[in-house]
Amino acid sequence: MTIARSYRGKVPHRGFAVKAVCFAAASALAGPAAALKLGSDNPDLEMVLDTTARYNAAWRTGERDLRLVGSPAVDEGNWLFDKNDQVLSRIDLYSEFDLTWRKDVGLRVSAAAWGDTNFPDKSRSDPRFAAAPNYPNNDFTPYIDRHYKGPSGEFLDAFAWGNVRLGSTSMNVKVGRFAWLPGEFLFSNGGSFTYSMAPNDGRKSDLSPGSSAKETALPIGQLAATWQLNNEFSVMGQYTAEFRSSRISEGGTFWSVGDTALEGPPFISNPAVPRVAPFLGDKGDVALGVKWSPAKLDGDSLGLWVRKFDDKTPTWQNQVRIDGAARSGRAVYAKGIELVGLTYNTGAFGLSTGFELNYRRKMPLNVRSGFAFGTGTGLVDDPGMEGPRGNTIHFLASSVVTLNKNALFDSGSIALQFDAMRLQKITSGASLYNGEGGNTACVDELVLRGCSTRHAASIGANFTATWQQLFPSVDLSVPVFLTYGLKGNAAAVGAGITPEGSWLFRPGVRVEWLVGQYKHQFDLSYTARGGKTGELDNGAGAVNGHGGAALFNASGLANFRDRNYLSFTYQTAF
Amino acid sequence: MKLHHIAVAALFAAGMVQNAVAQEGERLPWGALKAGNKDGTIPAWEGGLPASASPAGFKKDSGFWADPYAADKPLYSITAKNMEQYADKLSEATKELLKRNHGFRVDVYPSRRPVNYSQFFIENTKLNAAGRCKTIENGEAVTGCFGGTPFPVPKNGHEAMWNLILVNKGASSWTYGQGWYVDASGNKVMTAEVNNRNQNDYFNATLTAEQFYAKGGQYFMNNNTYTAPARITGEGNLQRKYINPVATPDKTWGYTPGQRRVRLSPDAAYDFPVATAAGAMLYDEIYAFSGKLDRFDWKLVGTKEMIIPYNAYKYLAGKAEDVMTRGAPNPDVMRWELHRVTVVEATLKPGARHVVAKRRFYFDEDNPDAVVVDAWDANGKLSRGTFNPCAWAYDKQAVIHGGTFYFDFGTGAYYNSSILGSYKGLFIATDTVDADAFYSPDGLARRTQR
Repeated sequence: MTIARSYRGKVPHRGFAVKAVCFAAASALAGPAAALKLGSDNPDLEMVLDTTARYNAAWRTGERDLRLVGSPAVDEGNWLFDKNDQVLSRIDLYSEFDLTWRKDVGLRVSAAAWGDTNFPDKSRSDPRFAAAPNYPNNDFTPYIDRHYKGPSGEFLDAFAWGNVRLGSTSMNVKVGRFAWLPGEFLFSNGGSFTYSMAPNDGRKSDLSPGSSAKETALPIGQLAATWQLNNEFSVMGQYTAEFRSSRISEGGTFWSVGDTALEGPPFISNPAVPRVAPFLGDKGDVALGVKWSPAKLDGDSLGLWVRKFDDKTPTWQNQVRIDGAARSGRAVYAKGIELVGLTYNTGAFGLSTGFELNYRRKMPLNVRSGFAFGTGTGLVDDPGMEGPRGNTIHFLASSVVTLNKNALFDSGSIALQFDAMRLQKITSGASLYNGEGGNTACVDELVLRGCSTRHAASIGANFTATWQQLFPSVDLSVPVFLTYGLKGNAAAVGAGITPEGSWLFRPGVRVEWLVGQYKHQFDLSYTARGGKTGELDNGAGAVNGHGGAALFNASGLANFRDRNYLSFTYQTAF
Repeated sequence: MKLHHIAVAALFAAGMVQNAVAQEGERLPWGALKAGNKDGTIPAWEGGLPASASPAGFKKDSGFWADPYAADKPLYSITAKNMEQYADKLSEATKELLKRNHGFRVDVYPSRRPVNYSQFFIENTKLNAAGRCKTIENGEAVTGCFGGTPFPVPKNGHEAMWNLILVNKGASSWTYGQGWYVDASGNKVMTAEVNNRNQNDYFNATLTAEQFYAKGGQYFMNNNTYTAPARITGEGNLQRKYINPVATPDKTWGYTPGQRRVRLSPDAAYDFPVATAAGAMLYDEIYAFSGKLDRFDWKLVGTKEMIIPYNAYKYLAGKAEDVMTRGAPNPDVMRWELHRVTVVEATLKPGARHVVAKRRFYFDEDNPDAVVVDAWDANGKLSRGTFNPCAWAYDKQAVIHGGTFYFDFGTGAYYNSSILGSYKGLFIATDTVDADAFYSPDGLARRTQR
């Protein structure tokens, strides 16, 4: 079978546990106190401490489809919970502290804490593959225990900022850990010029539905500035001072694609291929941008960006190295990607619409699986350990429209995002490319085989209808999210494009109950996923890898077709 | 026209002078009659409050203004029991509140006329009246107007509405207030605590009319950042409105926390409900009226005497718990006075859509910002009401515009957009900013870091 990569590819880091701090901060504010405001006696000094508390529960509703569990590399995530099992019972706290002096300089620190009483101690294998669990003895590793079970925590933002006047110009400077993603995307930034400008916590999006961008855009140590030269031109720049990986759902957990990634499982293949330390990117990403808002265009703005950066997505997650009789595997992060991008944001026709077009050189491409790299001595910067790279073109368009009161609802909104990409040419590692011109099996049924295609496109849409004051101080909304793959499988890693025929549909109901300064928000939603499936002859034959026995294939989100779930979220902030 | 409307119109016509210019007498530069009324219940304008006024307790640039009329006692009170005596002097919404809430009353104080416009305002108002200022684009835009009341003697509904849209709230201000609503069962909800900086270059005395138009005619530049409640702290937005909204539509930008980017917002206009207002305020009701005039026919009905919230110093200093009581504002903090108002009626154009089918605006002859509004739905049922209790910033020669009350008679909820007393208050023209840099997307991004 084919495992499509998580198209939201993302990864973990080694934060320092600060649960004591977080819980202390949170408990200091618990009770009826509103956001803590200090320094109000001194009008120059403003200090605010806010905490968001969220509880998530989820239940698997889908019956396991054993055809999706074709190997020991994909069983544990599917077997961890059965139909009707509760898969989540998780509390998240998120505290934010902001200090501002005369509105022109300040500090910001934020921290998160979590705990899930429902998360099991042990991973669970399909009985057929019980002999080869990716977690030896089916014991989850300390990394998994910390991030999934908790209670634990970490600092997120930690930066200082200032606004300075330089003659008739104004500059905002930030230094420290924060995320900055000034692109035109609404859902995924894989096709945006901001790809990898900050790592992304896709794991938290999975485990804590309702997390805001403040929690899922992972801060990275950097110096960044926006220099407004006049009312038409601004110049912007970023220089990163550290490397941090994005996060994805870890192997063997409910939301994972396979069992092998990324920080948790000690084995890529047990016992032949132990996982060793990843080959990470470096600090020193550079981004330079200029924004032009000509008076004639009346609020519309154009941007031009140039970047050189290392991939924050775990680019090639399972690079296997042969060293004599020994094998080892690691994640390798692509370095030195070059990008030039254009952005356009307009308010034409009363919509808020953004466009992006960017060209990337040395963009990492999807690597085929089931092969081993050459021999190596020690984990050094060995180009031979890289997967394929190429030049790619990415386009995205996003738009938001508001819907006025009508016979059906009081107000509504529609948000749309269209992503498309094209592989211009493969520039290195062509034989490793999992697509036309690389993997020899990629000659027919490309989408179903999980092979990348030259072109790929998908769409995401969110519709929300709202009824206000359904009961006194109670508003009701119905948010519905849909993503659908229109064409192909994206060639680039982390492109943010749903594979062709794959879909995710998430209808929900939201109740907002307001009391004084507090809002109690309750969400109930159902998530269903699916995609192309079919029988294909895989592997064993003599011609182009064809001619073997027909096997069941699932492409893209079809790998989750049996893991639909119901989720409940309660959140409030104080 | 439905029977109900005919009845309302007949009742309404009783106290009405059917033509705005029919009343004789010396007019002040901004169009108000100088003389009082025959009964002596409305006084003559005698110069208003001097700019040097300093009532007991007044601290300049403290965010609040001491009440120069604190010694006044109510002349009489109107309740549900005696309201029929005053029916022709009360807005329909006021009467509805009296009917629905037996604790509510209208305390009517001696009428005072404090306005005292600056020389800059007076001179520009005269120039506007002398023909410099005209409506264009079927009345949906104006040109040539600057620095004062655009149409001191309005000839039609569109001109009268521009007097309301371009009301003198000062050239610039910082407003620190909290938005609150009270739902049908009496729960009080704080929806937003806002730092608002507003600049109105139409009243910028450092500009000439030519410079104002050369810069694009931005009569309204507005930057909001939120400091509470916790769930929205750090969010922000920016608005720009242009004197020719047909050529240059209004623009709003929003700041996205976490991503730290600023992006144009989709149009939220006309009858789109403002999310933080429990549905009680629509986008085109902000400041009593905002946005384009294109969906309604506007008729200048005339002038009449009305009892409206006025000289609302006590209310403007009040905290949410003092102001927001179940069903209606706390009558103890409200001050009502009899004043001459201009009456403008808006009727939804055939084929146009809006939850409101008819609106009636009543605004004061001296200060159009002292406005009350009644609104009816498509069935002819009174559905909404608006009060804007404002006061006069004697030292700044401008209007103190605090929060506006919005009543939704369908849900029974009402909303106040900015209660100054619960936060730091209002600061008029206390500083200057580089407007181009400040009221720009990057300027918004500089003022919030979440």
